[in-house]
Amino acid sequence: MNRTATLLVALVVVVASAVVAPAAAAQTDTETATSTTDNDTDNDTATQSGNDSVAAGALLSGAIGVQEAEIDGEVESRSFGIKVAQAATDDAKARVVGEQLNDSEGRLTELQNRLESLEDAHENGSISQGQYASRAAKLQTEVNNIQRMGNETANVSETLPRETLEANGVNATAIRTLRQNAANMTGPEVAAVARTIAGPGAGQGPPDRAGSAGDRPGGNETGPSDRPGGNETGPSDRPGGNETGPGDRPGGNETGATAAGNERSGGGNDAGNERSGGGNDAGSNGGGGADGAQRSGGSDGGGADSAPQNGGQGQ
Amino acid sequence: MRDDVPQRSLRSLATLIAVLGLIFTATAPAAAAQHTDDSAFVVDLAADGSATVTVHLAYDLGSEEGQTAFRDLEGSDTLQEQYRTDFRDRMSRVAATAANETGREMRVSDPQVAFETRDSGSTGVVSLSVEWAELAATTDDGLVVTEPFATSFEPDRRFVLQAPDGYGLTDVSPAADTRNANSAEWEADASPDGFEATFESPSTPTETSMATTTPTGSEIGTPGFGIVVAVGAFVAAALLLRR
Repeated sequence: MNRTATLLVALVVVVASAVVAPAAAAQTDTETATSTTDNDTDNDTATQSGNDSVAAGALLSGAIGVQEAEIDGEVESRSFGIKVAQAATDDAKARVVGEQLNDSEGRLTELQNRLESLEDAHENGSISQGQYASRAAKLQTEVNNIQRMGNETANVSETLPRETLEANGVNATAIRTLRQNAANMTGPEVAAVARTIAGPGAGQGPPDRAGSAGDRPGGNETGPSDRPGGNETGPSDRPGGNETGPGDRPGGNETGATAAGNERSGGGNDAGNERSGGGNDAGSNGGGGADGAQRSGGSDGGGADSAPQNGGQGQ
Repeated sequence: MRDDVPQRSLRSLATLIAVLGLIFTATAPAAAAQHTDDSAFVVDLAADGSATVTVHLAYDLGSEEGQTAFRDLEGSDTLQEQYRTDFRDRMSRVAATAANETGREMRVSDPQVAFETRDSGSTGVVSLSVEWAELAATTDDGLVVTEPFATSFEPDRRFVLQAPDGYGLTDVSPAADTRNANSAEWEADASPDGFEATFESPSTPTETSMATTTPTGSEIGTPGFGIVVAVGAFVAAALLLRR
């Protein structure tokens, strides 16, 4: 009897262990998984925030579109700088400026048409709010690219004799008009919508091309261009401007970017304003130091104008 | 003699076209960056529902300055870091919103940017990618993908969805332009509204693999049941021993 009981107890212990151990292990796993998730969630929350009003699909389209447009702008800017650097004479440089100007004008017209179609589609409800936001964000980035190229074009033209520019069909007024139109094309609403998609630092532009002035042919002339978003412009005015100086948003851009975002979009407006006060721009050119700060400030635009060349306003 | 006139006219016309072509070529601005058909949006799924999400941006580097600009871009660590950061942050926002929509935890990590040239350098490709946890829902039968592709997504380039080897594409909506055993592809102009793709896993889950999955709420109650059984068994054994 005792023997039987002992065996029974042993059997019970084995069975109990078999049942309890896995269950306990499962519980441990669950806790681990949960805590891991919690940590991840916390981390994610730190860098992201869901957008309740725009569907994830629209956010995704916009994010990709903006990223693409930013890189497009970078490729274009660098290509322009290289072409300028490779142009052996002032006449050749003026031709490059003229081509760039024509191209930018054509694209700006196309963007204007796209914006009108987009606004119409949004108003008549044929596209969702998310689709509108997504497309507006990309469009805003493309407009920023035009502004940037306008600034860079102005910078290069500053270094060339007026007659040479005019002989190649380039005049400061055309450049100024391009920049003005780009700056005024989208209003604060589109800019705000763009930020919901692309984030606060959208289009602010790459940090810099730190130290790349050297590498990049034409670096001096275009220097400013580095940062898309036109912000750079500030610097641009200054021939040979410090590309890096300003602000480049090493790393922390995003945060500061917020502002940038505003500027950017608003940047354009600023530019416009400045323009009216044109004279100031000119002044700003000289004041290099400031650029860093102003950079985004849309000073760019302004500066650039003034830069203009041939006497700027005189134009 | 009469035949000479039209021939001369044809020659003149050809010359004119050639000259115009040269003029156009010489003055064509190489300004805006031009994309090629190699651009694509690729979602490469893993068996656990995570995915490597990659955007390939392909550029026509037909001009010398275009190629130099691309190399210049590739050589800029600062820019690459910027792109990684921006892409990660943007994708994280998408993931956060998609997580709300699906009820799954989604996380984005490991942003990467890569550059490569193809076709003897005439095409440059910038590839941006992230690892995206829980992009697909895992079921007993395999993987199901919906958001963030089901609402208002406009890929605007070739869209490729690829499951792990051995998985089989059982259902997909809207219909794919190209459908393979474990992948589907849509052309750039596709609008995948209402998107849903289901992939069947190579085999039904075994007991071993089940044991490694995260327990559900009801399973979490199991330990309590086990303890009751064990205590009951000990009581029964004790009673037997007393006898």
